[in-house]
Amino acid sequence: MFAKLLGAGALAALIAVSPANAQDGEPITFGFLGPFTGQFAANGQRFEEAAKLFVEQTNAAGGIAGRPLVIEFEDDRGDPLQAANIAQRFVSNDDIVAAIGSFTSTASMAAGEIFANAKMPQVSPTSSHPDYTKISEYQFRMPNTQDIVAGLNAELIMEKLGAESVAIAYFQDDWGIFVGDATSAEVKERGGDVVLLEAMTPQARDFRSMITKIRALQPDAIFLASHYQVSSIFLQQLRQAGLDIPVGGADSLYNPELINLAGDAVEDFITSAYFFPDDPSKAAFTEAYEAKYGRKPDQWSAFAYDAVAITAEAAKVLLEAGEELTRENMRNAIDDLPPFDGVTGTTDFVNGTPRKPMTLLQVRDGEYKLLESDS
Amino acid sequence: MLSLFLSQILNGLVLGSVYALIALGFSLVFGVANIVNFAQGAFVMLGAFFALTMVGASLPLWLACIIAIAGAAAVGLLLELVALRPLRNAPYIAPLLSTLAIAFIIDTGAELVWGNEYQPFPSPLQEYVFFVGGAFITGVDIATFVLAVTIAAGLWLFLNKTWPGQALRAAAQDPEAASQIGVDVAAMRRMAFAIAGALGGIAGLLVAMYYQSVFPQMGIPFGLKGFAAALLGGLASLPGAVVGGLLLGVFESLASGYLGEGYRDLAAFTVLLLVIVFRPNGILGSGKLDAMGGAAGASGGIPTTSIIASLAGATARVRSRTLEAPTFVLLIAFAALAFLPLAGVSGYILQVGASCAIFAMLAVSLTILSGSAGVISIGHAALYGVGAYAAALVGTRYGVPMELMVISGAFAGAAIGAIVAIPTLKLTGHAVALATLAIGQVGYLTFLNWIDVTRGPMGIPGVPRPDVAILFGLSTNSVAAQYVQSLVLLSIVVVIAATFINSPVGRTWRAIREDRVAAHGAGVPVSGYIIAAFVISGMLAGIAGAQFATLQQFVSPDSFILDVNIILISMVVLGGLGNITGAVIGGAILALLPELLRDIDHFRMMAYGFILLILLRFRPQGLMGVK
Repeated sequence: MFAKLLGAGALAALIAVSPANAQDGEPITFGFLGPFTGQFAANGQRFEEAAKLFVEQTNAAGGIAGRPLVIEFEDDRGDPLQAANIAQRFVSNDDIVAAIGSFTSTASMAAGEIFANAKMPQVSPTSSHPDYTKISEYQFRMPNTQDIVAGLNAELIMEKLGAESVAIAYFQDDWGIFVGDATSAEVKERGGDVVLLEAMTPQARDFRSMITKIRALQPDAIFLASHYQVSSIFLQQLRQAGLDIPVGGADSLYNPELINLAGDAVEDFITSAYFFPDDPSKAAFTEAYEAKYGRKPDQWSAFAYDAVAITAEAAKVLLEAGEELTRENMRNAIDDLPPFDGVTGTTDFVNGTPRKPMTLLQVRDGEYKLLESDS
Repeated sequence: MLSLFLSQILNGLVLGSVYALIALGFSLVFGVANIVNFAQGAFVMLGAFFALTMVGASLPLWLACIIAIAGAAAVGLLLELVALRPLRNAPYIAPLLSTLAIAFIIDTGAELVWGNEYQPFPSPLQEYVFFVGGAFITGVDIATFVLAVTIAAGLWLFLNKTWPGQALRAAAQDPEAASQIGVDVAAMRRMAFAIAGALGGIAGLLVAMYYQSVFPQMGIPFGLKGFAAALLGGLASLPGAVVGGLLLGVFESLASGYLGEGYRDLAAFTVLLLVIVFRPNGILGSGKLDAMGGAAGASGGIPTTSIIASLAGATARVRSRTLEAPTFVLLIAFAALAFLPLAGVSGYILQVGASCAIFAMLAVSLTILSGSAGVISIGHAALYGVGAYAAALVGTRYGVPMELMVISGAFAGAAIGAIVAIPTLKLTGHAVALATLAIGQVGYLTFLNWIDVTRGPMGIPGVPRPDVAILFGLSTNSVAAQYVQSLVLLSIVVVIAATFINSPVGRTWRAIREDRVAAHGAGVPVSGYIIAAFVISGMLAGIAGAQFATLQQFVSPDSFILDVNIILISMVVLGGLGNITGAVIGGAILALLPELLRDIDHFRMMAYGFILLILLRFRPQGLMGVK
């Protein structure tokens, strides 16, 4: 497995060029914008770590077609205005051939209009806003479209949790609203009953009202289209209320921090995931990340790693084909890449969005495990 | 659904107890030092993190809690020493802003020290769960409620029955007289801050146990609700703080239970605004102090409600030279800047230049309201947002020319300005700052929740940049064009603002600012003038919002959060209240600063807070002086 991964990625680069002149070539520069401080910094910092790991690995292995990779990181704090300023900064810098980021869809989209005007490709590791890839053909993202996710969520609810009726709590951001609505529609489509569809506002940390309602409605299962921070509080309050209704969640809830925070309350919880660090085929990434940062990568790290890797791959294809490294060529190369095997699965862009398989996980004995496995 | 009702009441009482604790600390400081302490929320967060750090060092939980409370009290003392004592003779708006800057520094500092992840917090009492019908309460709930009631009662006894307590009250009521009978007034102030810090710390511990987790931003929503509770109960009234806290907690829980979780905060802040329309002094508050010009009025100074009077005494208005350029000089400067694109500067510079122009417009619009008319607003982003949404909606739905988008923003801002003026009419000084804080939150939460119109968190993408019809279809669709457009709109905003500020209307506003009671006595229709200030200010903020919408081409609630409100009022104070030149410069500088500080990476926002604090320390009357 390890060899296979090496073979697919780094080894090809090693053979193609001699590492000796990696530091001599003219650098290839990407711009990376993300919330490295502020409210979303816990996510943004995982982005930064993963991207820096990729740069280090790539340059140690001889760079991209013999040229070193450089990433300019800029902090947008999740603020659309700052994201737009950064986008102009990147666009004004002739060295930057592609942009990666941001975390929140609102920041990505404010920047996206500017990247589109400047014909610079933008690869967002996360932004799942349905309108994001509609800005222009220059926008790409790493997660699936929501129709695929909603189908999987409905399957998780109805088959894996065995529920006829479900209460859905969604986080009130662009992602949560969309996942909540789409999952609800899909459950109804398949003949299930959605007894409650309610928002968790960004400031809310107290879910007893919702839990009291859930107790009265008695659904077979609860589904959380939310983030791990508030979900951990929800799960603890749910179990305190003495409700042992099975709970499942969206892929955002694959995060080791959820178990760290919620403890026993998260036992038996089922979620989907793009990336699972205990997956042996991802061991190289997980081990390198853990060695460098002392923590396991989470899904955000994995998405950011793939976002940089796929952009770097496009640059490599261009250089090896002897084509000029322009922003426009970069966009086309990203779009035309053959299916790319990364840590979050196989990415093949259709209108800027991939369709990749996801894994179902369950928390057992305080650890995420593959749902279908016995251990 | 009796169990839902019962459950909401119980939840509400518990949450309300936490709000009451925060409001108590807040009211105490307000009563003694006449200062609105916006760092009260930061004490909450620090209390929790101090305890977490101690638990991490293997101390038992009870000891960790005691050290944490002492730590929070020490921070309260430090706050008084660093942020407030040097500003005792400054206009009182300066210490208010100073506490905001400190809160900003503490919050961003906590991110650096403890990281951004949520961290689990031990909560042994949470294991005990009691069922009351369908509802349930936990050990933490009971502890919270009991502690809040005990502390409130203890504080009341302390203030009324003990010598130090009575000395504290004496210092609050009349510092001059108190010092003459031998009360160490400075020590009393320190004690008030230490107690406020400790109360915040206790609230923080309870919140951490309730959620079983801690995170750097945890204090902010509790700080906001604590202020709301204090205002609801009556500022400077300790029983009012408790009643306000409990009512707010119960009310928001009921709203969350019956309307949905999304309406919790929206309902809480809306009810606060409705209550103060009818009871401007809160439920248990009295209007006495304000009418007398606050505690300082009692110390022998001429009674005043002026925001530029200092805390120490109202007699001497803080005088400084006012530097203000004539309007035509500003216009020439903008015209000169408009040629920048021809000099071949990068799109980045133009983009940042356009954002500076937007914030300059906002600062000018706010300096009418807060500077000239003296209505301190920490909710101006609501009017800015209304303008941005109106322009974005009209632009995306009806395909109108650019000038109509801008006019729509202006109209919407003016109309909402008139509406939000109403709850603030009978409030002065500090109370109005808190009311506008609530207005800002209602604005943000409306953008977030009114999904049918604003699309909520999805935002409105693809805002067009149509041609200008009256200029024969001049294109606005480039960064350079947007930059020039922003300067043109800034010029219009400056001309409108200057016309009003330099007219008899402006003089009347300043008369109201200097002494509302006297203005009223002289026959000035004070309410009418204040509504006018809100309408004009709202209109100009709406123009800035429209420019924001066309520059960004994407409008979402993220752009109208609390931080923006704080930065806007900072711009106005730093520029010099009522000073248009100052507002333009203050707006541009504070918009530019985060970009200039990019090189220092993660310390960027902390440096921003420090720069604000230092500027306030040395130029409390603003860079260009009060007009």
